[in-house]
Amino acid sequence: MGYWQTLVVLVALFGSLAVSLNLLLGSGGIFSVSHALVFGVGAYATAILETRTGASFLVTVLVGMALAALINLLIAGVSLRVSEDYLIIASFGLQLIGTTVLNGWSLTGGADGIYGVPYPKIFGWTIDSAGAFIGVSIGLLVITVVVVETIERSSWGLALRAARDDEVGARAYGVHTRMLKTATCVASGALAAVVGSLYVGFITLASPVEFNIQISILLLSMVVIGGTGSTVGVILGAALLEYVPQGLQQISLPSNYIGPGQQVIYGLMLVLIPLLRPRGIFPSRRAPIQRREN
Amino acid sequence: MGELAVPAIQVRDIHLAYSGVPVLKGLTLEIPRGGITALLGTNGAGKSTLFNVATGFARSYSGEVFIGDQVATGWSPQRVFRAGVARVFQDVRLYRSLTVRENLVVALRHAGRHASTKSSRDTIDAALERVVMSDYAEQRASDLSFGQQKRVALARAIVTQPSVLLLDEPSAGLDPAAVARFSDMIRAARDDGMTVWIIEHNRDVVSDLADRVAFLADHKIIAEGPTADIVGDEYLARLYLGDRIEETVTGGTTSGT
Repeated sequence: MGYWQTLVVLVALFGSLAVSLNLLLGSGGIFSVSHALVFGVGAYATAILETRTGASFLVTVLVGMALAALINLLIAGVSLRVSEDYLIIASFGLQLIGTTVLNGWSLTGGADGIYGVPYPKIFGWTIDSAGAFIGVSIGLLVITVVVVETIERSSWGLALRAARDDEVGARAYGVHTRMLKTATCVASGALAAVVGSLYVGFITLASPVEFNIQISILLLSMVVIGGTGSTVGVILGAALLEYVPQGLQQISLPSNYIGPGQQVIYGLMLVLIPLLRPRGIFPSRRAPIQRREN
Repeated sequence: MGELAVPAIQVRDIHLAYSGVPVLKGLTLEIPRGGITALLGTNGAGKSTLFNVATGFARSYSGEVFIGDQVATGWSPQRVFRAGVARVFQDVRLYRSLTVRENLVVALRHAGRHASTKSSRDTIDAALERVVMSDYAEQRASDLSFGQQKRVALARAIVTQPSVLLLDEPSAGLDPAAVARFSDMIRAARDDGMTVWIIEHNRDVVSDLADRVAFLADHKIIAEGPTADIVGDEYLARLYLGDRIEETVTGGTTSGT
């Protein structure tokens, strides 16, 4: 598969992840640092079930979604009882535990991960060409966008943004804020897991480094840099950050500088973009608004 | 209570402390149905805390709360709202990124009454007209002035046709002309059959609006009765409104905060 073709697939997949995280962060104001882990849960569900039981791809997708939804249900159910700030810490803890488990468990193949994951097969059709992967990953991006936009335009999305803007004001007018936020965490986790299943079929490998805290932070960066709350913005944010390492290669930077260079560029973007464009490169009408001092 | 048997809201023998410091000690109060009752008291006396008890925001208290003839002790804020009690906050607490209309939509959809989209739209338009905010329906709440936000907060409450309307400091942050307009809107809600319960510092507003006044001090209601009796009471005035009266006489202003 060609270089640009791979980039298109990765942008579509990470765009889907960013859109699913944006449902949490943009509309819900819920800051999660474990989105890479739920993405990984989908990936490992597919990798393990396909290589060990020969289960069909679509079944593994459903199992991954269910597991990811359950994990997010538990983390939100427990931490939102305390506070949203606690969810940041709890999701950070979850992410670290998750990475440790993936690295140490024989079922997940430890640090080596799981090799030889077969190409995804849907209704007898094997996705094994560049064109097919591009088509399916863009298709998944479209589905994710449609699902997230449908939620955001419904009563659910409106109440979610009301709860984000003013929790007390929302509860006083009948909004069950905790239930709503928990449901949003569940939906977001399930959406991320689907991407994981397709991703692992694309790279034919499930490895713990693909789903660690750095990836969670990368996903958050895509959302914040692109424009929290803006669907188009976060997809472009994903495209931008996926292109950075490729761009560094193109300016023929020595390969041992690419990793650190990438981190420095992400870091600079995270510092500068909120400073220069506080609502992201592509701000949204649905974005949260900071309280003005009267 | 005579012929108006069941009060709109009752709180009985409420005890509440924050980290060991007592705020309310054996407070009992009835808000009669219809009319406007004002809750007076010095800063920090626990007036907003009492509102929190009545609307389900205070959790660890002892005593009983009744909404109409229903025992509402320990109810969640959502349940209190669906039972027909709407609260307007002192700091408005609008949904800042939502439009004025969307703010009202959220309240209407969670009030527990089913309505068609068409009639919801009419209900919202009517509520916005009542607070003279029809021209701002599609504006974001955060783009409005504080006075406009306050009117939208009132509209968000009355759009659900609550039986009881709680207002925390309706005059705070408004200039005298705006206070007069806002008072008219509150009277209109009362005339619509809503029981109104306000917390208010401004004596002129209390005298102008309220039929009854309850005075909160020493962690409980120390005096209660028709407005003229309480506001005109020398003892209460000296003890708790002293500096405000001074201010009125010497400075010619009545806008105590």
